Amino acid sequence: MEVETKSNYGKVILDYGPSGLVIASVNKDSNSTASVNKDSNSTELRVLHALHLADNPFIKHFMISSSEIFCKLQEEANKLFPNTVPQSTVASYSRKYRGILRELVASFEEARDSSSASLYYNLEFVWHFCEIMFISSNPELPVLPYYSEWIHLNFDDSKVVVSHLEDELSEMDSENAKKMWGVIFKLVFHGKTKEAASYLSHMNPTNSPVVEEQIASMSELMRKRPVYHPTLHSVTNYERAWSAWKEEVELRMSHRIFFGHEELLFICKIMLGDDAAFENAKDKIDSWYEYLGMTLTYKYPTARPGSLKGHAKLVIEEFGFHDPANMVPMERVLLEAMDYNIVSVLRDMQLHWNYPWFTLHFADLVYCNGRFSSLKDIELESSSVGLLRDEFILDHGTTLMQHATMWQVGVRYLESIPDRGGWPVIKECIQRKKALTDFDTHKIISVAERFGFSGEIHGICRERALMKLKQGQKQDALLWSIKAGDGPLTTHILDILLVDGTCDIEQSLLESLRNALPCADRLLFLTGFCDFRKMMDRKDLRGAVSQLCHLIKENLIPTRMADKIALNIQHFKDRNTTFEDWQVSTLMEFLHTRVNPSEVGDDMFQKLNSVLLCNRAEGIVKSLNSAKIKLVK
Amino acid sequence: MNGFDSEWETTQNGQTGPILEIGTQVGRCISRVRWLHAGETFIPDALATEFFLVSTYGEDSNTVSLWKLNAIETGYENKFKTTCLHKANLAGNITGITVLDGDNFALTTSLGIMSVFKISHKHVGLDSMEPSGFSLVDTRSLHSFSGRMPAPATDIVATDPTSVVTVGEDGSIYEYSIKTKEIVRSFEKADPLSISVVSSIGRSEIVTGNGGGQVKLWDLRSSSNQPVVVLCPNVLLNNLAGAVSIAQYPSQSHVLFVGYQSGCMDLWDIRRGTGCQPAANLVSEASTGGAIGEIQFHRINEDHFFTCNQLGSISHWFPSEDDDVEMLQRNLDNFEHLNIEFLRRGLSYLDMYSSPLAINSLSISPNDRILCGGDSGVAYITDISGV
Repeated sequence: MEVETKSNYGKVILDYGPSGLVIASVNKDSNSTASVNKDSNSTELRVLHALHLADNPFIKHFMISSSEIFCKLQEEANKLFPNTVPQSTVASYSRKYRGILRELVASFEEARDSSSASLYYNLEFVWHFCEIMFISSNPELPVLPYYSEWIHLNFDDSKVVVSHLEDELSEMDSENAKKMWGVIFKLVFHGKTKEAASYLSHMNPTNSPVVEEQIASMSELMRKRPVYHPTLHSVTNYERAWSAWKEEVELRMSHRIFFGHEELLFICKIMLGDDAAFENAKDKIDSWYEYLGMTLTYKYPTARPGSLKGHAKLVIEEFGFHDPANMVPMERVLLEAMDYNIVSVLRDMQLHWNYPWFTLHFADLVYCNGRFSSLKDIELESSSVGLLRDEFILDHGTTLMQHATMWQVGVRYLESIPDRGGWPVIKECIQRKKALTDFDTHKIISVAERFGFSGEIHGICRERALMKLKQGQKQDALLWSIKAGDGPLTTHILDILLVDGTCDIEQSLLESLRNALPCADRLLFLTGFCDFRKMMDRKDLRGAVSQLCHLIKENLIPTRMADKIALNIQHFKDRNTTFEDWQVSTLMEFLHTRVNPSEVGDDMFQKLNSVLLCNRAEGIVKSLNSAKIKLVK
Repeated sequence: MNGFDSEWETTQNGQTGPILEIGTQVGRCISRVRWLHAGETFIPDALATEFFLVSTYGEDSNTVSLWKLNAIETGYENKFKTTCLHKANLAGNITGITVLDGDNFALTTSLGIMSVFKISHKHVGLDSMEPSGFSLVDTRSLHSFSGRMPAPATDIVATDPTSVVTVGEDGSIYEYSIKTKEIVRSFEKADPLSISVVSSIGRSEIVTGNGGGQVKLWDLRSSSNQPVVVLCPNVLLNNLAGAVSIAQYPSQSHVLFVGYQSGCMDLWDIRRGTGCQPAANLVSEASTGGAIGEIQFHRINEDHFFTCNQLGSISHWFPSEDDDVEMLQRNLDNFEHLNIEFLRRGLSYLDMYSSPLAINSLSISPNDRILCGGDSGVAYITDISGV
């Protein structure tokens, strides 16, 4: 997706100061020699801190969007492995990154944060150029189409100017005419001669027939200028067409068709690559890279990417902008890119930007493409790119993992490091995450589950269990301790619950206890007691009594629970149900040896005793009756 | 509001699918999204102006904001615009929002607080009004652990236009009257486990889901603090995963869909009482995976429903066309009396949208739009009129 710039800001120079990255804004209309304000008290200077970046909502969205693009590229790369991702695909991903950069610039512009807008504008500027050198262009084909596009996108203000002059195009005064000529010249410098031709028709305010003819002739030349496209033309055919067009321009020049019209003459000379015209053009151009674009367009249209550096050096010397030794960082990066020196580009961007967004994503693109590893005539430390990429991912991912809300984005980066290189960081950071609610805890656990970090999951659950215990939520604590698989903690919490004496534990928890931990008396008691309660709920008295007697016989009932357990005996009163002798005896013995009458109350104790006695008596009566019947028979 | 007045324009060409991406300047993890319904609309209008609420979590202070969605150009290609009308900052994570009516909404926070907001309106045209902002009218600290530590309130639901019910990690349930500003009914620590979700199935009945996966039916008129019905999930299938979302089948109020932390879903007939088995299970291997954030049924076509989950998917579920696709494990004794199409035919799903980060909430408007939001800080609106 290509997004045109809405406005051109002053170029921001990245410079390196003692305490970190400092940024200075430069007015677009200032002297072409960039002046950087290095006063540390200046309001134009700002130091970037990586963590704070994500607090800005625009930046947050930008980082999430870039992580989405990154993840999709990894998916694609994994699908194609061991083959690399095709150049066209990588180029499309690079354009997506540029798209979100421009979106970010637009957001900052709308919020009137011009310094941030400038910062990211320049980042996109450098990215685009690096994309041309390392991704889009073919080292064996002309670089001009890509270079021209880059220049035009970043230095074209024709639409802005024309929109201001729209109502006056038919009748322009001299000042506006000058502005329009400025637009036309710029378009010519950028190689956009067709667009320039469309504006020429407005440049005959006096309706002079001579001028009309001259304009028509120039428009025709401009429209005819051959424009190279890598997929449509062969270089040979293009060179032929270019030579033919050049000859035509020379012919018209020699026939003095544009004689008397200063501006058209100037344009004609530019198109012929005339040195004097180029010298005059310097006043109308802001930067040496724009000038380089013009040079390539009209003097070396079939220049390969590898020759850019040589042309750039000449231009820089001619242009007299900078002493190469004192170049500002951004320009150094451009020259390093022209050298195909990817490692230097990454190093310098990391040094000056102090935040690995650019280096990480760009290194990843180059790495996925793997293009340079197959080219023999370009020396490139391609083997370093993969390692650098991993380092940048580790850096960026670790930074994000420390952020309160961006940590999940960090996980996505770290998991893309080969051989699980990022897993230790994820593990470490997950353990340190603070979760104030169950919801937050489950989020952390779900990430840990994805990686199979069972130890960490248990640790998180254990923390949660302890917190619940502190909050007085004992059964919740028990739930979390079961999830943690922590036997001692579970036992400890069970003890606390048993001391409370209610044994009123949620059904699902009790069910899970059966399978949760190795056999322990408390668990055996609780699970047995759970079964007892179920039977009581179902009014299965025989089953319930049998279960209770089993618990008594196995000596599983904790001493402190005996009184409460015994109270259940009162519910055994049922004329229709008589228990076995041994069961009644067991219960009676339990009542008289384990239960403290003063704890349950004397009346209750008597009541419990009488329930058992009555049941025993019922049993005796029934057996006597059945014996009588037999005798009668 | 610098940074919140963004307006985005996108084009809808009449096809079903994402129509807008809004709220990117929210910039924070979204906890809840809710359409503001201004009365029932029986005929969905694809160009209707609608309003919605977005709440956030994850920071020390979070926001609830009111947004407007409206069409700015209609024709072959419709264009929509969203505008943030108002936002408020609150301490703690915002955990639940419920819209009472066109005039009020209430929310809960992780500090155990319930707050009520009144929506202000402005004149639009001669005789119509539309929301323009909101203001705080009431706030109560409701949930706390023993020892007075604030307990996170986890969810809130409106039982009628003047009453809300809140639930929290303290296991308590409170019914609160907006009119009288009083607690009408409280179930203090009635559930020994954290309650994570609440849904209303009538004016005086609610269902809750807790951290152990249990679903409980409560009668707000009853003086007892015990639930009327307790539904326990299959521990072996669900492994103590909490119940995190509940939805009531539109035309059969006794039928509940429950989503769990494990990504499973159960369909229950609550009339069968305590101890019954679910009518059907959707096991996690068959589902889209990740804890089910919310479940919402389509307003008209009730055999279709939508879910969002922690893996970042919005899924559309519908009766299966393919006999070989088996997503549901049906309990043959328990479902034949339920007149639900997908229980007979089976269930399929389609991922409508996928995000790399969790989607925590979704809401369906009367105009057949689905609104969702999650940890990416972006809220999405999709047209579902094709359902």
